[in-house]
Parts: sequence; structure tokens; C-alpha cells
Amino acid sequence: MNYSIIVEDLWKRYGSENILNGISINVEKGGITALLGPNGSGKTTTIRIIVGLIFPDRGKVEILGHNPFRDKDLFKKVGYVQEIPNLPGFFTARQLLEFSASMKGVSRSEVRRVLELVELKDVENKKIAKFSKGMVQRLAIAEALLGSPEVLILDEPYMGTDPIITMHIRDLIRRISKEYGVSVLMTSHIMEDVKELAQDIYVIYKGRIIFHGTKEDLVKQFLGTRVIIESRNLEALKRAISELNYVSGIEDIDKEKIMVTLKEDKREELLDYLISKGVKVKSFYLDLDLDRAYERAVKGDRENNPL
Amino acid sequence: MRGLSKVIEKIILYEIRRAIARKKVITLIIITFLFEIGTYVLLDYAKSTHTAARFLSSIHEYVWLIGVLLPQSFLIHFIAISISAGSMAEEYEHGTMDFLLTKPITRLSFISGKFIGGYVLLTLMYGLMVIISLFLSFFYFGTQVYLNFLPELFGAVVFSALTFYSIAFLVGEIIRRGNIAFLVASVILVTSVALVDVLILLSTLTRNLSYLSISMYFPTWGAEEFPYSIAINIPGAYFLVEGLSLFGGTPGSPLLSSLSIIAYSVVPIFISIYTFLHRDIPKRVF
Repeated sequence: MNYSIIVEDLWKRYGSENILNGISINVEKGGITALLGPNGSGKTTTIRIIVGLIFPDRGKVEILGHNPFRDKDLFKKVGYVQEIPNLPGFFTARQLLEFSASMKGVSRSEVRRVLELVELKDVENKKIAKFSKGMVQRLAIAEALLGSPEVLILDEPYMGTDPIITMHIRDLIRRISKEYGVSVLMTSHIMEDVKELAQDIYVIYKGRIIFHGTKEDLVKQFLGTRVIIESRNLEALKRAISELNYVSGIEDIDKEKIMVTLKEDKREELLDYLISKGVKVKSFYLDLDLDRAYERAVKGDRENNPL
Repeated sequence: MRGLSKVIEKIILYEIRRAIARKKVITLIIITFLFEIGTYVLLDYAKSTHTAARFLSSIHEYVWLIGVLLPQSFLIHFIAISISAGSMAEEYEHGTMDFLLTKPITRLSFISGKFIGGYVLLTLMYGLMVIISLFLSFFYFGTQVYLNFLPELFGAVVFSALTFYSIAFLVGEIIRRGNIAFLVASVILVTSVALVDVLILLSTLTRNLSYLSISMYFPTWGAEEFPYSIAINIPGAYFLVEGLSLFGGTPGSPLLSSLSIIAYSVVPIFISIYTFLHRDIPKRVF
């Protein structure tokens, strides 16, 4: 597998507290990887080590095969948006981007492109100190996109933004990853992001990775395989399903929908069975209740490893 | 190497721009103007009193020295502290360090650019004071003499300002709080000035020269003494220079005072660089 970011066995201690306990993360080239975890779990510390702001006590970080602590030229290819971006307020949006472009060795025409991309062209001459949170967030993303980076590292990219801006930023991340093959590592609290964007998920809790896999894996591991079936004849559907020994639960959702929990992933078998029984099915899909799966993952770990 | 110097140059310009954008620096520039103008307006006013007029007529060709050397006693060090205490600390406080250090720049280039940038600004501010002082000297007192000493004196004052510029820079980097760093560095300056004055007084009262020797180990000694040790060589300006000097009568050569400046600058610079290269960059300090 080709990875853009490789993090191996990161350890970090502050005073007597272990913040990171052997974190390992791989970000696939061209993919979107999400790092999830409750507040104080170590997400931001991990990100800050990856971008070379914090030194690890132990462990290795590589971005595009380079060490971010030693090879600073690497940052010509890496865009980073910090959690609550703090940009020099005395600059206008244009001045900031021009400063950043000159540091990255990027042509000035890039400034116009990224300003248009985040829809800030109209306020390019306004001082950043007078920007709203959402505007600063978009400007920080524009800055990270200067020079078409190969890697984007986003720490809570929607912090403090309203739903419309959130949607706008989410679309932007999806687009740049898909169209330009940019590898994205992002942290987030919002499950909607994970559902819509991430192909690969890491759940971090108390400085340890407690889960790694796809969103389907997360749901399967912590909630079991849950299928939502829609049918006009729910009674017949329920009757047919109740005979199966690999079904562990049936739950009503509404007049035409039920949720079926399977002991093991036998989705194809279940669908074939329903068809063979003549049960008309309107829709049949895997339930991706990531919120609950994530809650279960963290809660389960909390119960196993109390504070 | 060329690429490296270009990056440092960008940080130097960034630092000057950032410092000018701060209200504190704008206030200092205004104080600089008022200080120089006020000094010469007062001297001009003094011409109307008989005793002062007699004294001023004997030094009227050297009046430029007052505007050039007077800030050296305190103001220039205070301005140096104001600029450098916040140089690194404010980047931590505002959380902008993250933005800057995730660019293609090494920590060493960054801290070098920050240090030089603030120092260039300090030099420009002192240059402004000198220009005002020359203009007002000619305007109020006519032709001035021995201006060939000016470049050397200018360099000496700027060099001596390096002491407290470096100390405040170090305090800012370690404490990472601009206002506290400013306060701590100012306390060091004032305490050092006060203690040296006490030692000179003790030496005069007891006629014991060892008190003067002790005073030479304080950071203010070299920083204050060096420009005067050069100005004293201007023919006919001895009494004026002695009068302007805060530590008049203190023994010492330009070499000793410059060594004091170097020691009190190089050590803080090295500690600042070492700590910056090895410490974590925290999230914004609230």
C-alpha cells in the first residue's frame, strides 16, 4: 500500500500524564482518513506532532517519505489547517496569501485561484482581524490549498462555522481529494463528515488507537450487522425473518421500515431468503449509525479502561 | 544559501510589518518624536535665561550630540525591550506560530528573521531620532561641528541597544507572554540602572574603587558606557558628554564596554535559539 503519511508508535508525555501511548496511523495516497476521538483523547497532539510543532518522546513520522522535523521544504507540498485557525490579523486576506505563496515558492496567480475557490474574492482587501470565524476558516483552507498540495492535514476544520459554511468546506474537501488526488488527514467530532468523506477511520481514546477500519467495520464491530428493510407488508416480512437463527433482533422504525440485527454478516443470504419467500422488499441497506457505533467504541473502552 | 537568506528576508519584513501594526510600537514612534522635539524646544527656551544662554553658547555647535546621545541613557533600551519582548511571545499568544512554522522554513531561520527584523526596526527608529535631532540642532542652533563622528556614534548606540534587545527577546521566548516579558525585562533594566547608580555613589562616598569595578558587571554598564566612551573623543565635547552620561566617571574602555555588550547579547541569543529549537510549540496560550 502506498501511504502519504506514516505515523509509527508515537509516545508523548506531559508531566506525569501520558498523552499518547503508541499511536500508529497510515494515510493512504489520495484518500481521506478521519481521526475521531472525544476531547482530550490526543487527536490534536497527534496532528501537531505530524506537522512538526511538537516533538514526540518516541516514534516516527513521515510525510511523503520525509521527516517533517528535518525537511521543512516538505511543507511546499503540505497544507495544514489548525484547530481554530489563528492568522496574523494585521494582514488582509490577499496579503496573507501572497506572504504564504512567497514562502512556498508559489506563483501569485495561485492567490486568485484559491480566493475564488473559497469564495473570498470580494473581501480580499479586508483585514483578517475583521473577519468572522467562518471567513477565517475558509481563508485558512485557501492558504492550505496554495500551490496544490499533495497532503492536507485538517484539525477540526469546521470549528465554529455555521451549517452552510460547514457544507461548503465539506464539498471542497471532497472535491480536492477526488479531482486532484490530494491525501487528507482530518480530525472531527462530526459524524456526518466521516459518513460523507472518510474512507478510513481511526478512533483514538486516551492516547491509544481503539479502532481502525472503514465506517462499515466500525458499525459492524460495535453494533453488529444491522440492516434496514423497507416493505409495504411488514407483517409478512417479520414473520419470514423470525424463523432465521442468525437474526438476533428486529426493531420497528416506522410503518414500512424495520431494522434487523444479524449475528453475523449474512446480508446476501437474507436478501435471497426474502426473495425466495416472495416478500416484496422496497429497499434493503446496511445501517450506518456511526454516532452510536462511535459512542459504543469509546464507552466500551472507557468501561474496560476506567480513568 | 541564497534561498535560505531569501526566507529569512521574508521573516524580517514580516516582523517589521507586524511590529508596526502594533499600537505599542506606534506609541513608541510618537514618544520618539515628542522626546526629540521636546528636548530641542526646551533647549531653545533655555536660551532666554541668562545662565543657560551662557552655557548653551559654549556648546551650541555640539547640540546635535544631545539629541543623538540622550536617548541612549534610557529611551533606546526601553524601545528595544518594547520591540523584542513581544517578538516571539506574541506569536505564541496569538497562536500564529502554528501558521508560520508549518511553512517551508526551519526554526533557526525563523528565529533569526524575527530577531533581525525587530533589530532593523529598532535601528530605523533610532535613525528617525537622529534625523530629527540633526534637523532641530541646525534649526535652533545653527552650524554643527564634528559630524564626522556621527556614523560611529550611531553604530555604537545601535550596538549598545543590542544588550536589552537580546535580554527581552530571551525573556519573551521563555515566558511566551508579551506583557510579562516586557515587565520582567524592564525591571532588569531599571534595577540594573539603580544598582549601578548606588555603586557609583558608594564609590564616591567611600573613595573605594572596587564598587566601580562591581558596577561594570551589570548589563547596563556596557550598554550605557560604550557610546560615551567614543563620544568623549570628540574635541571640545568632553564636559557635554560627561554631563549626558548616566555613569559619568566610571572607568572603562570602549573594548571593555563592547565586551560587556557582546557577553550580555550573545548568551541570551544562544539560549533563545536553543530553547526555540528544542521546545514544543503549544496551542494558543489564552
